[in-house]
Amino acid sequence: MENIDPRLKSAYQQLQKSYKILQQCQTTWKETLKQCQEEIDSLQNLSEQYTCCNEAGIDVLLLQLPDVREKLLYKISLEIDKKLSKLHINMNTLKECCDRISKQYDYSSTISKGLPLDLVTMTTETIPAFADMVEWLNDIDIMLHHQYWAKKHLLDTYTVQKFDSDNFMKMWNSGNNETTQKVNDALCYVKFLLDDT
Amino acid sequence: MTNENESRFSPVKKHGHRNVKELNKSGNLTGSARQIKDGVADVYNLIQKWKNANSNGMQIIDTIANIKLQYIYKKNKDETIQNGSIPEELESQCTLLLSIIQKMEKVVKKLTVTTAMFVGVMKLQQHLADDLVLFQTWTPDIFVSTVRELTEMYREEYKLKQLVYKNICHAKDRNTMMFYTSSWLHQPYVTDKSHVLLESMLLETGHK
Amino acid sequence: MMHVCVREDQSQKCWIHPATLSQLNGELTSYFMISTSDSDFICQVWPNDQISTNCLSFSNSVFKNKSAHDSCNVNNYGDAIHMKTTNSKSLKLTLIVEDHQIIKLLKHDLKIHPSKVENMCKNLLYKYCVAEEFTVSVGQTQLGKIYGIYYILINSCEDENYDGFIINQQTEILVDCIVSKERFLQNIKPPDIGGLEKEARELCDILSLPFQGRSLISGEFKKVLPKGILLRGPPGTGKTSLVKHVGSECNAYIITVNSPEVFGARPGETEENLNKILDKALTFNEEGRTILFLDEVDTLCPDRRHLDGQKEINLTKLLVDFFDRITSNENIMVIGATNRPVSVDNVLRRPGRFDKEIMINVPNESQRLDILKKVTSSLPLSEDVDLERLAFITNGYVGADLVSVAREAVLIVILGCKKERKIKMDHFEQAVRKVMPSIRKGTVGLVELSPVQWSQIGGLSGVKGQIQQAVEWPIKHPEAFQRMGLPCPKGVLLYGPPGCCKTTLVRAAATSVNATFISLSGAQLYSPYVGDSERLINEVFQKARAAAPSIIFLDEIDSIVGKRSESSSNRGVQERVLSSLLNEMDGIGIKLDDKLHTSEKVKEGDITSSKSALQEGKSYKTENRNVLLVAATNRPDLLDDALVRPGRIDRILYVPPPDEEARFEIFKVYTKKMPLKNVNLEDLSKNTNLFSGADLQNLCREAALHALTDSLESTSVSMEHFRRALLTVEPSLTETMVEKYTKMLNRGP
Repeated sequence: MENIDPRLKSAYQQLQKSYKILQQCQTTWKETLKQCQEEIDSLQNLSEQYTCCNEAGIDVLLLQLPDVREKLLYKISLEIDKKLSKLHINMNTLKECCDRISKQYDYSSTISKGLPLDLVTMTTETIPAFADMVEWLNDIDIMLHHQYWAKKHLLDTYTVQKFDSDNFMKMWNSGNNETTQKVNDALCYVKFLLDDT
Repeated sequence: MTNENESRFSPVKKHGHRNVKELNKSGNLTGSARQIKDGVADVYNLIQKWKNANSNGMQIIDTIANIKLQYIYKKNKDETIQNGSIPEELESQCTLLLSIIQKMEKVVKKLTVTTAMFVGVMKLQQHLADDLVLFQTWTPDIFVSTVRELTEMYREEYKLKQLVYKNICHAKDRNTMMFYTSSWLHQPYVTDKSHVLLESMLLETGHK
Repeated sequence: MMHVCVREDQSQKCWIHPATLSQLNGELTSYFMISTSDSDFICQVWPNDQISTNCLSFSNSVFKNKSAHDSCNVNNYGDAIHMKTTNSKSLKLTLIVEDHQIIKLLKHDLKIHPSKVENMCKNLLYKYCVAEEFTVSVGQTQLGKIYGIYYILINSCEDENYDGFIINQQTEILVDCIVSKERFLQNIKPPDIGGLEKEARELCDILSLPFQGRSLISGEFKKVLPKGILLRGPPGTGKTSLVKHVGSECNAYIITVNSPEVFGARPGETEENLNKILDKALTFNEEGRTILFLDEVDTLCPDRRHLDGQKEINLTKLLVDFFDRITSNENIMVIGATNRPVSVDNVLRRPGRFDKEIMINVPNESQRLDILKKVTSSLPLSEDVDLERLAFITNGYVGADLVSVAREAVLIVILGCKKERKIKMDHFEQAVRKVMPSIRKGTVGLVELSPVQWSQIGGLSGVKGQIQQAVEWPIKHPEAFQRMGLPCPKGVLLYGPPGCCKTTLVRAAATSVNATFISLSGAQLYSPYVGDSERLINEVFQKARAAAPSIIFLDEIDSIVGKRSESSSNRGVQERVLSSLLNEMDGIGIKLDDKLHTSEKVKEGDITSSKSALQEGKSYKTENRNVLLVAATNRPDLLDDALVRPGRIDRILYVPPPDEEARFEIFKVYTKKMPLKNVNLEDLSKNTNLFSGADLQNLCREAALHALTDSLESTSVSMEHFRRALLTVEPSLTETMVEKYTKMLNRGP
C-alpha cells in the first residue's frame, strides 16, 4: 500500500474491493454448481426412468393394472418439476454473482479510465498492471454471463421427451473449465493485492 | 366490499363447549374422541412403517435389478444360456422381498381395521343422533372418508407391489425392469394427496 | 500502417502497446476500427506491454468483408482508427442459423414471444460493439452453439453520429430475417458466362416472375408459370455455369443432384437418396428461393423404351410426384440439364413438368470471342494476342474447350522458357492445335489432317480456282454470298483419273479454311447390324452441323453408294445408305431433337448474321452454318442420278491429268528434297505425257533408287537415272481413259 502512487490510490482500493468480491463469488459459484450437479444427476435419473416407463412394452403388470403407466409417469413428472424449480433457484444465485461482478467492473473501469495510460500499465513486483486487472474483470464478467445464460437456456428448453443425457451434460459443462481457470489465474495474480489491507 | 367477501365464505362452525386447548390439556379423552385420536396415531405409525418397508424394499429391488440386468446382458451376448432360467442369487433376494411384502400386507390390513373402527364410531354417533364435532371441525364421517381414502391408496399400492414382487424376476428387458423399479420407488397410487390427508388428520386431532 | 495479426478468439479484444495507444488517442476500454485491405474489424483495445510497438494483435469476431468473396483473409498490414461509441438504442439484425429446425423454432418464437428471441440476441451480443453492415461471428462460442446461431448480421443502427454502438440490456432489437447457414454460405461469386447473356436473362425472368409484382400476378396466373426448365445442348457449353450464375443473380439457393451420387447399390437406396434430396429442397423452399438442379437428367430418368428389360428404377415417378407437389409452391424451380434430350423420359417433357426447353448451342464466333475475353481477362497477355483471330480459328469449340485452350497456353508458357511472364499469340495457337474440341471427340471419321498448302500442289490452277470458289469462299467471305443472295453449295464432286491428287486438293482446301474436317470411308460406314450405317450417317451429319462450318469428305464414293437398281436385292444395304445420305443432304428436315440452332428460322445453307451485332449497329460478322459434302471418285458414272444433281451435289469438278506445265510444277515439288545434278525438268515434263501425279512421284522415286543402286554413296541424282527410270515406269493412264473422262465432262453427267 505504501509504495503506491497517490494518484492510483482510489483505483487501488476499488480494485481491491472488486477482487475480494470476485473471491466470494467464486466460492458461491462453485457451491451452487455442486448443488446443481446433484439435482441434475437426479434429473437425469428421472428422465431415464420416464423414458423407459414410457417405452416399456406390454407386460403382465400393465395388463392387470391398466392405469399404472399413466399414474407412474405423472408422478415422475411431478418429481422432475420439483427438481427443475430447485435448479431455477440455483440459477438465480448464479445470476446474482454475475450482476455483482458486472457492477464491480463498471466501477473499476470508470475509475481507471481517468488515469494516465503509462500509470495504468505500470507493473510492480507485487501488483500487475491496473489495465490488466480491469481487463480480467471484463473477461470474467462476460464469461460468467455466458455460462449463466447457457445453463439457463438448457434448463428452459428441457423436455423429458427430447432429453439427450450426454448432449445435455456436454453442453452444461462446456466452458466450465475455462471459466474456472481464468478466475483462478486472476485471483492468483492479485494475491498480494488481496492480502494487503 | 367486505360484506360480499363475508357472504362468500361461511364461517367455520366451532362447537362451543369443546375447546381444542382444553382437549389437549386434558390428557384423558374418553370415548369416541379417544378412539379416534388413537386411531389417527395408529394410522400415522402404520404409514411410517410402510415408508420404512418401502425404502428397505427399494434396496432389495435395486440388487435384483442389477443381477437381472447383468444376466440379460450376458444372455444377449452368449446364446448358450437357456431361455427362462433364473440365477440362484435371485432366490435369496426374493425371500427378503417377500418379508417386506408381508409387512406391507399387515399395514394394509391394520389400516382396514382402523377404517372399520372409525366407521363404528361414526355409526355410534349417528345412532346417538349426536352430530358432533369431536375435535375442531371434523365430524366423524370426515374422519371415515379420509382414512378410507388413505386405505384405498395403500391397498392399491400394495396390489402393485405384489405384482412387482411376482414378476420382477421374469422381466425380459431393460425398459420393463426400469418400469418395475420406478413403480416401486415412486408409488404411483399413493398420490401427493395422501400427505395432505394425513397432515390434516394430525392437525385436526391435535397431534401436531 | 501497422503490423497486424489475427487471433482466433471469441472476445472482441485487441492488444496494443500503450505507447501506440496514446499515439492513436485512445484510452482504456475504447473501441477501434482496424482496416486491412480485405476487411474491417471492430475491437476493444487493451494496453499490453508484451506487444511490440506499432503492432496489433486482435480478434476477428466482428468483421466486415470489403471484397465480394467470403473468406476472411487478413493481410498483414492495417490501420487503426478510434471510434466514437455510444450505447445502442435499437438495432436491426439478420440471424444466420445452423439448421432448419432452429429456423422453425425461432420463427415460431418470434410470433409468439418475440422477447425470447430478442433476449437471445442481447445475450450473444453482450458488451459487443457493432456498426452497420458488420457481421458478428458467434458460432464458435459456447452460447452460440447452444442457441444454434452462427452469424449475426447487423443491418442497421439508428444513429449517424456515432461510429460504433454498444449493446446492453436496454437495447431494442428487431430481427429482420432468419437465414440458414447453408444458404448464406453458398453466396459464392457467380461464374462468368460468355455469350449466354440472352439465355441467362430468360432464365432470370422466369425465376423472378412469381416474386415481382405480387399484386399484379394473381393466384391463378402463378400456377401457370413454368416450374421446370430443361437445358439441352452438347456437353461443355456452359449449362451448369448458367444455372449457378442465375442462382446468384436471383438470390436462390441451388441444390445440385448429380446422378452418380444418387444411385446406390441396395434396392431402394436410390429412391431413398432422391427422396432425401427432394425433401431438402422443400425445406429450403420454405425459407426462400430454391433451384433444384438435375444434372444429366437423362441418366436419372431414362426413356423406358431404351431400358430393354433391365430393372426399372423408378426415379421418374418420384420426380413426377415432386413436380405435382410444387405446383402451388412459388419459391422453387427445377432445372434439368442434358446432352441427349431424346433419352429423357417423355413423361417429364410435357407442360406441368419441364415446361420450357432452352437450347444452349455450340457458340458461334461472336460468342466464342466473348468467352475468350472472359477467360483471358485474368491472364497476362502480350500485345500480339488477337482474340478475334482466335475466335475464328476455334471453330466448333465449346466454352469448356476454350477454357482448356487457355489452360494449355499457360502450361506451355510455364513449361517453356521460365523467364516469360506473358502469353503470346503462338502459345495460343499451339494450344489450339493441342486441344481437340469435345464435339469432335468420339465422332467416327476424324482423321489426322496433315496440312497441305496450296503451294505444295503443282499446276492445276483452273481446278484449284474452282475448288476455292466452291469450298473456301462460302466460309471465308460469307457476306459476299449474302449480298448477292447466293445460298452456299451443299456438295462438291471431284472426279478424274486415279492418282491425279483429288484427295490432296480436298486436303488443301480444308487446311486453308478452319472448318471441321470429317472423313468417312466405306469400312467405317458399314456394320453388320441392321440400321447401324444409317444411324452413323445421321450422327456424322449431326455432329457436322453442331461444329459447323464443316466439310464431310467421302473418298471413293462410288464404292459406298452406287446406283439404285430395280433388280438385285443383295445391294439393299447400299440403297439404304444412299437414301439416308440423300435425305441428310437435302431431305425434309432435321429431327427436332437434334436441332441445335433454335431461334433463327433459317434454312440450312443460308448465311445468317448475328442479331446482336445488328442491334448494336456495328459492322457485323456473318456466319456460315453450313455442312459441305465433298466427294471424290474415279467412276462418276456409277453414281446415282439423284445424288448427282444440283441442289445436292452443286459443283462437279473434273480433275484432269496434269499437263506439261503442271507436270513441271509437280516435278519441282517432288524433287525439292532430292539433290539433283544436271536434271532438266522441262525435258522430263515433255516426255512424261499421260503420267498422273502419282506416276511422276513414282518416277522420281525410281530415279533416286537407280542412283542408289549405282552406288550407295552417291550424293546426287542425274538425268541418266531419270532416263533409266523412264524406261521402266509406265504411265497408268491411257488415252482411251482420258478420252472417256473428257467425254463424260462434255456429256455432263
